[in-house]
Amino acid sequence: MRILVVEDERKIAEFLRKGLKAEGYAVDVAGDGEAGHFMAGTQDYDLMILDLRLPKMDGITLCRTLRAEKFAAPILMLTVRDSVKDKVQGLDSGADDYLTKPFDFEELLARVRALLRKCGATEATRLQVDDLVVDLLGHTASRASAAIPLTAKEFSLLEYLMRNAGVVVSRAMIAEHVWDIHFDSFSNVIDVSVNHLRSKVDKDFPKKLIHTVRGRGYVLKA
Amino acid sequence: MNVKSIRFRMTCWYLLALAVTFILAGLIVFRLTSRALRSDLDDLLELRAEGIAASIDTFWTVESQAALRAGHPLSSTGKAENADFRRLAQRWVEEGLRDPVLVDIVVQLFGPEGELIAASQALPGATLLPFEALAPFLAPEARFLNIVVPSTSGERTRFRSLTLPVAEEGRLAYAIRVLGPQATVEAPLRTLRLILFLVLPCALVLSGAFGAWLAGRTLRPVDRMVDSARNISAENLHVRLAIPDTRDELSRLADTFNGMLERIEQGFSFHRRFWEDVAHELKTPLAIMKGEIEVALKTGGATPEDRQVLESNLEEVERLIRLIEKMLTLARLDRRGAPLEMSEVDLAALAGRASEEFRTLAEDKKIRLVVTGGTAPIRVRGDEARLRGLLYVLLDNAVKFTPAGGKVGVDIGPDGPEVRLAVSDTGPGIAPDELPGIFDRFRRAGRPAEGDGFGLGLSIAKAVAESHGGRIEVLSRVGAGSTFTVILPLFRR
Repeated sequence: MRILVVEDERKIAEFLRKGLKAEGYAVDVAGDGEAGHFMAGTQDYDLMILDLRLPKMDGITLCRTLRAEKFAAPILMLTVRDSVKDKVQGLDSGADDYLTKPFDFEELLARVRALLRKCGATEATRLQVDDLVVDLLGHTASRASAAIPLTAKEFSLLEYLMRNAGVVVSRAMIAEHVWDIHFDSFSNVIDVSVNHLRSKVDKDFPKKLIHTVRGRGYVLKA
Repeated sequence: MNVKSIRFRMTCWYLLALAVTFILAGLIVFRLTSRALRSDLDDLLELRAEGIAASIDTFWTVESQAALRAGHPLSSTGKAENADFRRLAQRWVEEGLRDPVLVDIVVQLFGPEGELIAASQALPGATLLPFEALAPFLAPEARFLNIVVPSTSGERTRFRSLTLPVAEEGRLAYAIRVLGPQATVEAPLRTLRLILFLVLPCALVLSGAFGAWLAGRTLRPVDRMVDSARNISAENLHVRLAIPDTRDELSRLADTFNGMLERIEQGFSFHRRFWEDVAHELKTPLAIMKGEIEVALKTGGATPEDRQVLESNLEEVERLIRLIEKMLTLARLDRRGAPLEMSEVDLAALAGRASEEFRTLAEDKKIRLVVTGGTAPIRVRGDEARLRGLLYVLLDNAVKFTPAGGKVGVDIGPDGPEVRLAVSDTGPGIAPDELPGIFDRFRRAGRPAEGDGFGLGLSIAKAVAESHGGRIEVLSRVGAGSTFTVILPLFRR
């Protein structure tokens, strides 16, 4: 998988390149809009990470130009502006997703995965990690074939952890995806909810699946 | 009416000036009328006295000539000391006074020694001329006198008298005294006085009312300006006073005020833009720090000590980011026409859901969370995400500051055209002197510093409530707990 990062802020481009590379992606960096346009035309990319504010040609214009030229790869837009108007403008220009700076790197990775998956495989209806199974159609969860009674919120939380199995998800990501809210004191609520979920999923089993990663968040893995 | 208001004071001064003017005018009118009436009476008396003197002279001449023709002339043609004249005078009084012009006037005739010869009417106590010889026939100003005569009923009747000496060959022949009742002067004066006393207060009352109305009318633009100025706050600084189309002092005042508002608004908007720009400028370096730390932690290679430092740094960076986010939220809510995503929101359901989300947290702390009211939908117009944030701030604070075993209550219900949503706790409460400051930015009113709140939560809650046309009220008793009540206008189609 080859990703083009168009970002004029050298240090951001650098950690993106480093972090994405560590995840196994091939990464190219363009420092301004025109360079990005040129590189997008010469190489075949699977995804583009595009900063909104760029010298020479801004992100919106670049995005429109590329889409007009039938550039097919998904585009993830980055910006410090986070108003609804900015988001709508970004998505209208042809971007597939939108992330505001500063962002969780894990969140960026999750979005990258989701965007790459979108153009590939079909949506799964059943998620499994070890002996823990979540049926997305029936809204049921079971471990070692024994059903786990869950509230609606707990189910959403478990589904989110399962979808990102093996990846650390931060409290901010959980808050945004499960509760759809940006609110920092809310992390207490998330901690308590995860603890409740954990007692239902892991309590009776020697093998623990939900782990706390100090200072970062939670991860569900075998 | 406010005693200190310009309107009241203006009316008072106006009334005082009017009262002084009215009283002076009344006094002058009274004095002039009185003088005119008295002088009229004096003129009348003089006219009558001269008429009588002429009449008596004529009578005497006719009589004496008649007697001469009859062949037995009068003993003397001199009037003084003449018994014939006295007889004649008495006859004249009996006959001549039938003349209607002399009704109401008492006529007395005196001899040269001051003895009463004849009188049209008996006036006990006024039968003597109170002067000697009347010589040299009275100075004109001394002819007039005021005389008081006791009447039969014991009342005292006041007369104005004129004594007219009639000379004969350089000697006083006789004197005519005419007396007119002073009542002819006093009665109209009494009436005039009565009129003035009645009219003055009435006029004052009427003028006072008129003055108050006039002052009110003059000051009405001021009242209107006060009303509009009162409605101008940091949230709607764009509002301007209506400038009265008069080009007078008031329109100048409104104009000046508007100019001041303009400058304040510029200051405010600069202040807001400044914070928004600062927040945005800070975001890029923070994004770099956060990203670099996260990638460094992820890709490994650091010693455990380095990792600890990086993790701690990451926590602080994230705290800074949250602070910036809150500042941005506030800056946006402060800005006129904040980009709220308005829709019809069921506040009862929203409060119910938010409470449920805090239930696990509350139960973990052994706190009872009780929701009352809100069984039926309560619709408001608002930005659901922001309203939820507001509820989270209040619920989070309530749970945070309530000790184990305590209770957090959520009560929602319509109240007239509004909805009241109260979140109460059994926490330590807030001291009265700290209450006014709890919504101020970056202040945490004496509450135990727990978690990493920056004291912006309540400021945001307040800003959210106000951007929805509502408000937040707080009631707190130290030791008993606090109640935060959000009041929002109900949705009307």
